[in-house]
Amino acid sequence: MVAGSIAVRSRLDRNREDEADPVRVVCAIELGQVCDTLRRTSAQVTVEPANVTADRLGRSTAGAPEVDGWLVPAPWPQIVDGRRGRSGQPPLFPDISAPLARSPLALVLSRALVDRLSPRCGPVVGWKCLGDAAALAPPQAKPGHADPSTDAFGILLVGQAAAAYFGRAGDLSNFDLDDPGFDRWFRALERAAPSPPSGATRLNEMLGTNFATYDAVGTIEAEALPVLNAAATSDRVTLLYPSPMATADVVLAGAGGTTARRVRDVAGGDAVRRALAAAGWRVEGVTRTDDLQLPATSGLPSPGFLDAIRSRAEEVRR
Amino acid sequence: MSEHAGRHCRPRRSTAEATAGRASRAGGRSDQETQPRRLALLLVALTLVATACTSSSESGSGDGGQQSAPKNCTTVDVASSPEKVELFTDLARRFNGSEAAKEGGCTFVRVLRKSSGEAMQLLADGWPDEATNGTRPVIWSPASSAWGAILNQKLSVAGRPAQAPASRPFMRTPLVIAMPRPMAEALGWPNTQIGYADILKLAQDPAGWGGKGHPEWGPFRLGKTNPNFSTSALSATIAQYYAATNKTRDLSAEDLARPEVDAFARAVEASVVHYGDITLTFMNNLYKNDQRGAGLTYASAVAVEEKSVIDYNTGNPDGITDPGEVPRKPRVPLVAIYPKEGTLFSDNPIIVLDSPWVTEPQKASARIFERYLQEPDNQRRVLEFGFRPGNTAVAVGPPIERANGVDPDQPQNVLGVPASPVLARVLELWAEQRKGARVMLVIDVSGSMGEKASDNGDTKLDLAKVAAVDALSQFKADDLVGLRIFSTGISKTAPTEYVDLVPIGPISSSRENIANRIRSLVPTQGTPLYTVAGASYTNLRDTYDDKRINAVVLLTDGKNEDPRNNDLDGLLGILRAGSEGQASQPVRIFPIAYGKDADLSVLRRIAEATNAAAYDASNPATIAKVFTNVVSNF
Repeated sequence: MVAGSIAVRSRLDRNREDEADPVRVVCAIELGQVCDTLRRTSAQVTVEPANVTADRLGRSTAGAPEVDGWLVPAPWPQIVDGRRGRSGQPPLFPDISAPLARSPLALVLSRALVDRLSPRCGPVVGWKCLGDAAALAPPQAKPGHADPSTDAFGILLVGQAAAAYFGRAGDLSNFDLDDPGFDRWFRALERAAPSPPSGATRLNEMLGTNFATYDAVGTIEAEALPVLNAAATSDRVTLLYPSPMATADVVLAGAGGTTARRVRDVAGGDAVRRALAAAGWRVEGVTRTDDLQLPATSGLPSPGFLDAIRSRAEEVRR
Repeated sequence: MSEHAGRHCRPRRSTAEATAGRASRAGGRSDQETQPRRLALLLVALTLVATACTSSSESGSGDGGQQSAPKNCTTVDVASSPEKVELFTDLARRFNGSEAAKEGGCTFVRVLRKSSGEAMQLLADGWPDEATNGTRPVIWSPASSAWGAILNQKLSVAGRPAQAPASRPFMRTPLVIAMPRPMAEALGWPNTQIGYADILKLAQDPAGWGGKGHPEWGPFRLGKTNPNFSTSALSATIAQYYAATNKTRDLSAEDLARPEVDAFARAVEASVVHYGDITLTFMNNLYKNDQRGAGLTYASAVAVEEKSVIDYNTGNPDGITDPGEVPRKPRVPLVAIYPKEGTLFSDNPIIVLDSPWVTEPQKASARIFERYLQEPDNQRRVLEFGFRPGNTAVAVGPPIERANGVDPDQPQNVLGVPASPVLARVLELWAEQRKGARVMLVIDVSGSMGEKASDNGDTKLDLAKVAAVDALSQFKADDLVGLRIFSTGISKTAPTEYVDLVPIGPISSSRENIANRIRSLVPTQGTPLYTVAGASYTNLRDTYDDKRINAVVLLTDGKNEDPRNNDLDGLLGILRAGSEGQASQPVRIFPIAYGKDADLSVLRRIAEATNAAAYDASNPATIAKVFTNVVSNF
């Protein structure tokens, strides 16, 4: 009875604290409606693209942290701290959670393209094959993916593509980006198809233009499955999880200090986890499991490599 | 801006006012806005206005379809490009009566028709003068996202923040080259893939169709609108530059500056029949020529959206079914050529504007409407209008099918939309490279032009003078322009019905003289309409310049009042005879029906006889806008 009273009292105190001094959480706009859920909590929420947050926080020299928490796909917090470290600034995120939700990176391919490329690439058409086909004259594939310069998932996808080219992920170095063969391949991959002028996703653009814009699109499962399940042309595409398998992992990066617990309660709690599940993410204990074995870690190259390949992609697309 | 109800009722502007400035269909209709469904919607709108007014909410103003919001509703004004305004108005009406409109309170959507280019310019200018231009929008839906990029570029150059965020497509339609089927077959269609380069090469060939074994079709004539107004023209101009550079993406300012690219662009533009603000003018003229068996000598190819081909082939060239009109299929159908190099899609984005006048509640309401538009039931409606759904859950189907001259499996490739600074440069260059014009401005100075036309005492002639002088700035330096005025007995010597104040000559040296002459005009006697129309036409035909668009702009506020010449049929016969056939020397007459007494039906027939378009300025206050649209033909 006494313990119960203390617990209730503690919760009431916390609620008063939340109202008087709300925690400041940034939510990556790429998480879509999950950010709407966060907005309905006591937190003071800013919704913006992950790269905008990263560019701001990476440069910030403010003494006190500008945010208390950041809900974003990994490894964006690590990228920010890496940038800060290179400019002599202390890290901002000492408290990065385990993945709240995961979504494997996927390729959606037109079946016609698979039929065309299979003799060259074998039955499984992956990133390496797509880049090779895009490098032919005239190009034999029109691969697309979210822009690594502006989209949180873009760097994950080009990171996975690079890992596919080299056949390894863990030890990729920035020096590998200067490999002439990779440079040619990556240039072809990135320049194979023009960016859509609208705000449509690459996947919607591919399906909506009857494969005129793209015939292969890299994305995350959480985006692909709902779209493909509803798509009128779903019988004309196939979804695969390219090798090496990699995942987008949503994490909550905390700035530590006195707000750490409240940040976890608000932005890492059940409401957010349920919202992630509703948005198609795999959430342990919330979504049903299937036969797909996800890697223990993200399966992606290092955060520093991803930051470097983001810059390289920007250069070759220019 | 009208976020909430609370203003008092004001009189609606007339339908004529709402439609002013658009090229009229030569056959007797004003334009897209006067269609049965639109009339029905207008009645609904008027009913809603009446209901809303009696319940003391604000009144609507602006363009057709504008109406009052119910009390305590957040109003979302939508500026829609013309080709989908009917669909949008219908969807807005359904939305306003739906449960979706009650989400988070109450949302009320109103639709305003604005061409993409005009809306872009208004937004860049801060959307001035709502009384004339309509209510400032919360949502802007141009035909293509490219207009959003151009707007943001203009704002950026002016040091202002962007207002058009990247937005989802509502529906799509690809740019195609519409060709009469026999002509397409002469180029090898459907067995041979045809590209922009093939078509543009033919456009530059002095032998014309003779080089393809069909000298009877005369020169290759390209139908193209003005890219400052029309999305299909903007897309076609971009595609033209890609063809000139052998590229399919990343068109650059350096590419545009290359001499051979400039020469290519000028050669292509030289084959243009005339320009114009909307493609429907071409489709209507083509259809009317087709019905007379002369379709193959008006235009060989027209850059239009795919949906226009469907409309044409179903016997409805402007996509509108007027009362009593029974669609009649053309004798010679069009086929859609999907250029092998790729093409551009009009993606019809729903842009929730970041403009200073748009509030957060309006943005939230706008997003509710946007979600409603994406619902599969509503996306199926877009198919009925010949567009491809933006929601990929809805399959492309009839009427997008081969029987209608289009191919649902095409296009196979797209061209990259250039970066916004390049887009802006494309428009600048087009103004220099477009086909030159040779134009006689013919202005009615009859007594009725002295009638008062505005509250501040301006006469019709006063307003027309200001508009005409302003329009002079839209001609490029090497255009040839002259000024003629007419009224019965205006000259003591023959011809007594008209006087040439400034002979046709380079406007670079005569612009100020013409402007001064216009400013000094005064009203005089009656209206010898037929005589001056015939004489102006004959003068230009006798001095025809095949390197230019030869045209007469005929502004008049009355009917023919010349007892010595009442022979309309004779006039039309002369005009038609000179406008048809492979060896024709087309001189277009673009009449402006000015004021409510102008004889619009006769002026339409005059326009039709020369394959041009009549413009309705029955509200004198719209004359400046109308002049702008008329000059867009050059």
